Amino acid sequence: MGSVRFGPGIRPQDGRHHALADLLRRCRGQDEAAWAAFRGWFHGLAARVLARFPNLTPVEREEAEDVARVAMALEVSEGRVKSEADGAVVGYARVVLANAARDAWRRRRPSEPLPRDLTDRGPTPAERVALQAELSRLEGLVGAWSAEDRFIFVMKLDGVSTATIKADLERLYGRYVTPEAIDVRFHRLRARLRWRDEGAIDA
Amino acid sequence: MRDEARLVEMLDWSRTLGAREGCLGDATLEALADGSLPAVQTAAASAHLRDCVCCLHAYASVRALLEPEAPADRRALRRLVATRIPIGWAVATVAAAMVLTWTLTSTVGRERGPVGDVPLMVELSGQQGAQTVSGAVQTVDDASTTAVAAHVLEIAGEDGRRYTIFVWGSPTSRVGDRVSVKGHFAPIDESAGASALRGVATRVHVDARR
Repeated sequence: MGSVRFGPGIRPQDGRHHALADLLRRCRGQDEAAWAAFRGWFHGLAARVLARFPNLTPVEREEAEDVARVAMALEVSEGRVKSEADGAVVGYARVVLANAARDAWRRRRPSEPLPRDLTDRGPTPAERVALQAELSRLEGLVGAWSAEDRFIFVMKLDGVSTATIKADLERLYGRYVTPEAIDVRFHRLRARLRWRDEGAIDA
Repeated sequence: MRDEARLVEMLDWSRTLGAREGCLGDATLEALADGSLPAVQTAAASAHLRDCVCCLHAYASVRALLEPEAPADRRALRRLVATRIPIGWAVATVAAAMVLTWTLTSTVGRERGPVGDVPLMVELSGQQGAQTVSGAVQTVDDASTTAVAAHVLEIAGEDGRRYTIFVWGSPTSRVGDRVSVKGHFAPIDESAGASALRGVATRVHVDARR
């Protein structure tokens, strides 16, 4: 895997993602080119993770990214990120970024409470009841769809590409669906979803 | 589009309600996403994803981060393109763009005090010509349009100059704060010398609150 070009993203060579774990191994070996690639990868990942926190200002995002990158680089260089699997590395980086985002918020607004998308606590009892009710409505709606439709819809909603969805349908379920069919089905499902008062969902 | 963002937010929170029986842990989801989960467990996890929309969303979140491109950015762009903009906001957007363009293009090919004579594209790339000024915030004016947050800072610089600075994003500083602003600056009026400058910030840091 040493020859894998590590650009803005990761492409599996054999159905498994391990280019990232390989990159971190090279970083630990003081490979300067690997560190440059790490920086590019982390910047792209941070943009995606921090996009989930719309309450942060651009400056706070930049601060969070800087802090998280330094923290992760330190962990990598000291050999504390040892995973051989890219999923675990991405999961770890996501946690580091979320913590840095919270710190950035607290640093600039020490007297203000964390907004909901940044909170690191579970829901309050009242929020739990409301959330559970909302979730039940959602599950009632998408529960009427086929499992494949649900898979396509949620994956697309989370920003997974059509090509990856197609690959996953084959890998996980042995289902062969063309990219065009995936896109058409997603748009039809999306059209069926309508938002009603107070977050209720209607078909 | 708003409903979909809400849907994703709700699914994010669904995991905090506590795992239900059979729900997949983070390590399993990550291994499933990168293909390192053993075959038997992959089959079990895949079967669970067919029935559990919360775990499916958690899986999709990890899978998206293993993608070669930035889907979040693409989504944001699609939302921006699909947004219907009221005419007043559209006019404000165009006006802001014109002011910004004028600010930047009027610096081309001149002797420009603190910025120096740097080709515009090199300057805009942030590779050269950026400088940092410090001072006290005099005014903060909103310059946001429908999909773009922005504001304008008026700063009394420690160097005795006055700076009018366009900043992307919501304000992080208030009147009276001491700030350091990294950006590109040029004199507002050549005949008046370099006592008043305008510019575009690439970064604003609050050094001290009022």
